[in-house]
Amino acid sequence: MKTRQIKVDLLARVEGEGRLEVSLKDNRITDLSLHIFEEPRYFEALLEGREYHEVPDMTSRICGICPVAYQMSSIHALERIFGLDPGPEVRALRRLIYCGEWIESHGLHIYLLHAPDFLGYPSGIHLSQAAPEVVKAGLQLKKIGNQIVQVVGGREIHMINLKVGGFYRAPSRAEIKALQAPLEQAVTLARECLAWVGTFDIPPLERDYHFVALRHPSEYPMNEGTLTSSKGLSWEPAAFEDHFVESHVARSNALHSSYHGESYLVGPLARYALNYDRLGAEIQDLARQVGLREVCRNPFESIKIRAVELLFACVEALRLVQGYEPPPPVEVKVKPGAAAAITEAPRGLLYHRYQVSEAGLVEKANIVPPTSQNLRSIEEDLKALIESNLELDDEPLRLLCEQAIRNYDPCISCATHFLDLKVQR
Amino acid sequence: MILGIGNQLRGDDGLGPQAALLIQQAKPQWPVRQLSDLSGVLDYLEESADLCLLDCLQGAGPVGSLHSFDLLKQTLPPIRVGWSSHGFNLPALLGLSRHLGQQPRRLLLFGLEGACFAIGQGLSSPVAANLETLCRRVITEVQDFKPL
Repeated sequence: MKTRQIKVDLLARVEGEGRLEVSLKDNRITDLSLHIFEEPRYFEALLEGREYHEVPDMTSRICGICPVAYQMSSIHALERIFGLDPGPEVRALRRLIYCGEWIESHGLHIYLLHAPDFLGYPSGIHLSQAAPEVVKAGLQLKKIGNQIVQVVGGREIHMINLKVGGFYRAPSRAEIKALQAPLEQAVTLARECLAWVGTFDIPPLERDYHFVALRHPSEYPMNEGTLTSSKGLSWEPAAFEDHFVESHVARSNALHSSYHGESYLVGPLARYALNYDRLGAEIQDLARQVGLREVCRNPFESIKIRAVELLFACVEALRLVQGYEPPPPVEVKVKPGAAAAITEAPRGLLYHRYQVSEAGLVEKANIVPPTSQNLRSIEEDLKALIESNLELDDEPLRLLCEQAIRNYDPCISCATHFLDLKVQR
Repeated sequence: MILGIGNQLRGDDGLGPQAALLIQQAKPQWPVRQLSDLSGVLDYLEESADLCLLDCLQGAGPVGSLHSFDLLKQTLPPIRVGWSSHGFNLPALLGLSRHLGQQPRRLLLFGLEGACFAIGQGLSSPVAANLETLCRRVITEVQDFKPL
């Protein structure tokens, strides 16, 4: 009888703290657990009793990588409760800041966190020693993404300019126009990035994912859309909790989300598969040139798809900058009620639901981050990967497992929140 | 440029931003910024000719003691990953800046040895007691910094 144990005590190059443990007996997996031991954060409980206008600023604190997503999902849900449509100018500016977040988040992940896996370097620091110009390009892309968030949101992280109804201060035309030249550079850098990741050797693995993403009538989705699935299903955001349920598992401070008890996948692979036709002919052509099909089921191809989305976000941001019109002020009238909204964070669907009183106080809040939704898929990927690579020694197998986890760009800190805080004394 | 680094919701880790705020109130001739995200330092490593970092320290000496490093001449010991988003830490960041050829002309680090980094606002007593001393020392030491 032969037993093996693969352990990754502290996952590196992911946001937050987690550990992987795999036990094998006679080449069969007897246990595979992704332990999430980052402290729980109780954000929903913190929101209860707070005034509605505090919610976007509080939820942005859930994540330093994707605060725009948290502000956007909360703002859309609250506006839905109030029956408020802030108009096309606000809508365009929100899409611009979301592009900024995709650029900085995807740029960071591709260049510093994930590419080293494909090129045999232990970290982005080592990659920067071997290929400084490549890493400089990545950091420049991240910086341009941050610049967009700074100009529109007032700060690079945990922005202070977004609110229910629009923006506290509309950026001037000159401030937005100043983004044009950096974005033209970003488009060039993002094209080079896609060509670069297109040269990577992709480990073989095919998974039969149930993809779930937003789908918009005409756009690649960020802020709006109908919830759509690769099983041909479609729901409005309000129906999310009827089908997708979070549950606690002992090994994780992050809840595990499932679709009627089964895993599903959110994020770049799902968005791409369900919205390929929204990318435009030029980007579709570039995706084909790096070997991507219209639907990709190999999770290791996520780095290429992130590069596709990085390019899309740069092109889209440039278009929005060129057509910028400052949004007029919008009056907010508080109404009691409950509503949900979903937007596409860089890592995937981010669901928020709020119930607000007549006085505008939050009575109930529920937030389902993308990493919670993907945890089951991550564990299933690892199982499939290990079963098809049993001939590998422990160390290369461990590295391959870490690389597979990083396919998801997981944000563990976002995911570690509990729905309810119950204190028993 | 003076950058105060840290998380004000993690006890003594808030030292950097609090020191930056105090120095800013003295209306110095150099820009002062508070940073919660260490990776943000990279932008300033590229752009600033003279850079001073303020951060809380561990393993440098007794709690509350003041330490300074010339980071272009001294090497910091490696720090285990996992203490910050994506495992970034100061030695790693400095390595990155060195490899990219983005080192500033001067790069100083000032800090106090911390006692408590648990969740919660406020500095521990020994660190709070030496906060002003730290700020005075920084203002004295960076007098010859080139203004931007």
